Amino acid sequence: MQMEHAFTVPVPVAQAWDVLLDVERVAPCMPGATLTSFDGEAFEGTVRVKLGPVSMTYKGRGRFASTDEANRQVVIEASGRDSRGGGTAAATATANLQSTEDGAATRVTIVTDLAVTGRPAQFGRGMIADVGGRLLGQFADCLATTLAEGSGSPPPAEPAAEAPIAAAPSPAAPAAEAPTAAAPPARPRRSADAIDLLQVTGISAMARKAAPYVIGFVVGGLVTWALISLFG
Amino acid sequence: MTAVAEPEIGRARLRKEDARLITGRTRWTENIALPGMLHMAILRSAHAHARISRVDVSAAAAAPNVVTAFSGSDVAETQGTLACAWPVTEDIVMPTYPPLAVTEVRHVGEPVAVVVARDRASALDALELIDIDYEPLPVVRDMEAALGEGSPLVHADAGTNKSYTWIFDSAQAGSGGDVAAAAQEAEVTIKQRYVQQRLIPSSLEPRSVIVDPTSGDWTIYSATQIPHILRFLLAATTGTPEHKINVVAPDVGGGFGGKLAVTPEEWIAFAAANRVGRPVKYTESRSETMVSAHHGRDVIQDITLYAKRDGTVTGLDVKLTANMGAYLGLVTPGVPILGAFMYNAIYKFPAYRFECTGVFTNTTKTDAYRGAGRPEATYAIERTMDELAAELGLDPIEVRRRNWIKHEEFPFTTVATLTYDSGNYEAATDKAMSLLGYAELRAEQEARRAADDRVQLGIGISTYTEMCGLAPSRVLGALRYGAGGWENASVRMLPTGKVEVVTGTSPHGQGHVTAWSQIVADRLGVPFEDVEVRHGDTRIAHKGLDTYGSRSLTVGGIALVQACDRVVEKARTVAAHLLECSTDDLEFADGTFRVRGTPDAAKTMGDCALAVFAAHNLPDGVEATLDADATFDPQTFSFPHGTHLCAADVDRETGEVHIRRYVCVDDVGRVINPMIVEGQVHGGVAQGIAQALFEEAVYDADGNLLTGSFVDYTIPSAVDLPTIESDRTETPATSNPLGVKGVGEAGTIASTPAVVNAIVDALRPYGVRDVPMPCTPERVWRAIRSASSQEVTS
Amino acid sequence: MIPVAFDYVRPSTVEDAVSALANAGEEGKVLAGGQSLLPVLRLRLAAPSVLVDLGGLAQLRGARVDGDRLAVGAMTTHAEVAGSDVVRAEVPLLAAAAARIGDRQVRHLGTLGGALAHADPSGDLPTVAVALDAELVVAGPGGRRSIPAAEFFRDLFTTALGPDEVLVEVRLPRLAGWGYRYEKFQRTAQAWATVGVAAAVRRENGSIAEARVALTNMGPTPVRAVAVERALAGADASADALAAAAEHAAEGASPASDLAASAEYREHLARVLTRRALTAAAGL
Repeated sequence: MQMEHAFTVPVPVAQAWDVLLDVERVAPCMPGATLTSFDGEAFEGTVRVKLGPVSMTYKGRGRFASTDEANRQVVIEASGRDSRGGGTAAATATANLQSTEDGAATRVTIVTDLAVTGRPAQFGRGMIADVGGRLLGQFADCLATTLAEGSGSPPPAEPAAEAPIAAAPSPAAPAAEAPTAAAPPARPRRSADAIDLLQVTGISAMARKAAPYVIGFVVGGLVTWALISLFG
Repeated sequence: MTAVAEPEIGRARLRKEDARLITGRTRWTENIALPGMLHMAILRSAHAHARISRVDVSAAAAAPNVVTAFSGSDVAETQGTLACAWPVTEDIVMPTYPPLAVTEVRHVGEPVAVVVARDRASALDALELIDIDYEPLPVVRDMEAALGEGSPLVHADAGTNKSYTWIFDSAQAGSGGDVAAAAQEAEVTIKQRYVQQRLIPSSLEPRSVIVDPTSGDWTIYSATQIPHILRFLLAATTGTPEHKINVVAPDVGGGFGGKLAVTPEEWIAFAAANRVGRPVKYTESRSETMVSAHHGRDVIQDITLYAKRDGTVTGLDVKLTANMGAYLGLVTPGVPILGAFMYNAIYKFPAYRFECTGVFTNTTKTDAYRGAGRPEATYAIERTMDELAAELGLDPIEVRRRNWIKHEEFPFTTVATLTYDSGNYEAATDKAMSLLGYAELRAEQEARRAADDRVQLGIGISTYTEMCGLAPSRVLGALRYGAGGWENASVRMLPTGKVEVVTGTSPHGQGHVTAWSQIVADRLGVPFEDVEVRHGDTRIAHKGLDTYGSRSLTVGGIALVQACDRVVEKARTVAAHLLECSTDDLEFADGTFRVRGTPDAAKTMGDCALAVFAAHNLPDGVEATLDADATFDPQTFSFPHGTHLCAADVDRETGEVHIRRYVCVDDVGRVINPMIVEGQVHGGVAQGIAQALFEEAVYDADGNLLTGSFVDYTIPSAVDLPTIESDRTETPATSNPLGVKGVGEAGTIASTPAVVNAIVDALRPYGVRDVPMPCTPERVWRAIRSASSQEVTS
Repeated sequence: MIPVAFDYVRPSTVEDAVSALANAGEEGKVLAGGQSLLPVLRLRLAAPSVLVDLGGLAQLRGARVDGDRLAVGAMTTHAEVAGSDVVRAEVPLLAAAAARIGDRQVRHLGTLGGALAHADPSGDLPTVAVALDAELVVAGPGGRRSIPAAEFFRDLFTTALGPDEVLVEVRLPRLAGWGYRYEKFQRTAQAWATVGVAAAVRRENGSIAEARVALTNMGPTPVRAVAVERALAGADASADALAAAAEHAAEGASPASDLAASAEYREHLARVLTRRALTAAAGL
């Protein structure tokens, strides 16, 4: 399935470009993700997805398949396998940055091809496309926030990473009014040596939140690992 | 014995086998536990198409309770290949079909690796430790795209996704005219495309197999419809001596064609058992059934019908594109071909052409599913006849009347070369119309149309016939099928007068034990209770061709009658000897030989059996046995027919379809047990309605089966189905001594078009001409919407 | 299939259940009937290390009147809810919805609390809870707290319940004298709702005094049909007025497209079924 997300961030294209290539900064936008290694081109990690009773962990690797600075285009490929052998997820994400006419802002377009196999696809009541779209939308929201910060600025206070798929809180339960008992601080911390920290925060913060429907997807610029399911 | 016993044939006997089947206190394969038996679990591909670049089973092999773990490459040399028994054309593409994938997987669910452990849970746990690297390959899901230029290939070495093209042309066959000529002269042309969606056979019992290789030979217990074919093919394709193989189909919980298969799982269990030298059991989970047991239907039908304005049909052109899936199963290519002879149905078309192209895709293979080719054919022609009626402004029944074979015209040789021996379409249709109250419902329909009611009434008609009793061996040979169509039975008289019957058919829910007992009771004049029927064990029933295609009674039943008659003739000689008369002086009735004119001089079958057992006083040259067997090979098919009428309420607002009345009048010839016949009709109608309204296997573009469980693959329950009002006419078959025609598939064949015709009939005033199956509320709603928007624009 | 091995705890008090969950940490899971959980375990889509079975908590079963509320124990089965005299008298909408869940077997094993805590967007009972402003009483290590239904359902399969909390009771307003209807549209009789509408209406002098409407499967959580309720307030109890109000049913909803239906069709169904539910609830 293919999904497209587009947004505009109020920073010049060069600045957005630097952030986009900063795996350690972008990875936390993926709920449940843990980056275990990154060598500048290839990376490895896990994405744990919980959705109600469903819980799956994808292990995988990815790489910057191409980094075209002239055209401001990054292509990232990633794939992962469910640790129980229940299936795989693979994604190719192509991100394009384009400066606005006044050069003050950047238009970002992300086109993602996502392929999920195995149990989540088979037992997901056919909702995988919908869920995939929500997940990527959430990742894109977070990425928008991160890119808008530009390089060197501190992380935002309320990135979308907090509620894994709550991109659209229901009218009956506005996120702002959500009770605190079940909402521990979930946003991953970031720092210069983000990889180690991500290992600590990526999973634990998410897992506590007994929620994400979805799986994973991560990445350096982004990538996707997966999706998910649910059952009945 | 003065009272004349009520004939058993025709009695609604309760089924002998039901108590044990319903309570489960019987030998289902899964219930069988052998000493030292191990349990197998299968790792299946999650990819629809991929190269297997690495498989590592070492961690699984080292897991607790695991005895062995292996993948395709470990058994590549010995696992043999699965066979397709029906290469329908000379140039058919028949790819190798390895039970365990070795280098490439071609559909989701294909077996890739195996764990054998001391218990099933350990085997499943260890499965998670198998490490496989796949390189995904392009996926071909859509049939028509698969035939297109530059499509990725399911089997690269075949160089094409086309398996075969099979053609029948009445002009060439000499059985009719030229369709091209009919096209030129046609006053009316009806062109329709129908899609027979993919269905998943869903029997109560999933597939299960045990292979016991101990004691120097192999005993295979399998939940199969075809123990004899399994034995033959296992011997033929693995080189195992046939006489060392015994196959047992114990009680089997339904099949519907889904167990008319020689499965990869049976082969893998065989390989696994040989590897460990101990009995190995494998029982699939329902979710494995969904991805790996074969599917049914999945055919695109392009239909062109030519007619005169008076409604006379002058020609029919049928082009099929049939999805084979990734491999050819036992009879995969032949399934749509079985329908080739049925598109002309009950009608007297003068010209007919049929062309079917089989296509490979990265999906689970298709194969027989209840009706196999004939429901598809019946659907297409019965839907099209309704469209012709609408085009001409005629009542759909009237159009059928003008074209069907009249009862006085039998025997009738059709444009598809079959000779129908008997039938009375007028009688069945009249009876169905009167049961339904056809005229009254048409009047109500008229009123509701006039009032523009939110809920509209539709009346659907399906006048069907089918070819049953598969099959004359010579015909099968001509169609390039790999086996014959005969059937075998033997009858053993026990010394106490009880009777053991052995049948080569292999029941899996049909009630053979009861029906065969009734036949034998009448034929030998013994009590119904005194007959026992054995089946499904190739050591007991050493000859047979099993159960499918509504063949058991029409072929196996006749073999049984012949065997009974031979027993009676043997007994007659013995009775004559004991009564000191000539055999010509004896008359046989109610199980007793009486001397004509001296009715007190009598010997029962039991007397004869005991006399033969003692053998103290047998005529010279007479063997000390009354047992007999017989093999029957039919000279022709049998042709049940009937008229099904469906009255459906269709909610124009939601698209919801509610079947208000369902009336069926079937003519299955002479009826052995009316309750069993009614049960077969009910079940068949339910499955046909399920295709019309509920069931569909759905794949996504990547080849994932999205309907992987009953949450998404919606099979109806009793609550979702109407009361089925079934009745019969009885026009005995003239082609066999019992006059029977078969009933196993009739309901499924007839009901699907009846339901869809009703839906379209309800919505015709609103511009709807078709609704794709299954006719879900949303599809009906969309059909209404798009029809009304088209009317606005036009 | 067979689930991955897990430990099994069957506490006899709510406190023991809470502490068992707290001990289990991230890997514990409540078994409250198992009609959704067990299939997931059998498919190995989840592998909790501990199952805490609430089936032994007899104190969480049954319904009683408590002041102006009906209190229903979380472990009351759907069949018990559907057949309970007190539920049928005080909150018949809940009984009607419970009677439509799954099949007979599911209704005899599945529980009210299990259905709410599972928060399936296709579930019928969460919708009733939201429509009626139920309060969900939750026990945790720090004692009990009450969560309004509107805040309980957070997202797909996601609630305000903490991992060491147990839903113990559902409190609903007594609605004797209200008209009601749970309108459920489904592919087969035992299928999940394609769309469902829970409606309760109180009439006064020929007009609608109050109406509560919520929708099943029209978004990740039950959707309160606020625009419909607003349009109904004080409206004539006439077919036309109800139909006009029902036209707002899909406003604010964000239904999914899946194998059972497209989002567009769900929105259409929401309007049609809301009109039908209101018509029945208003006694027209």
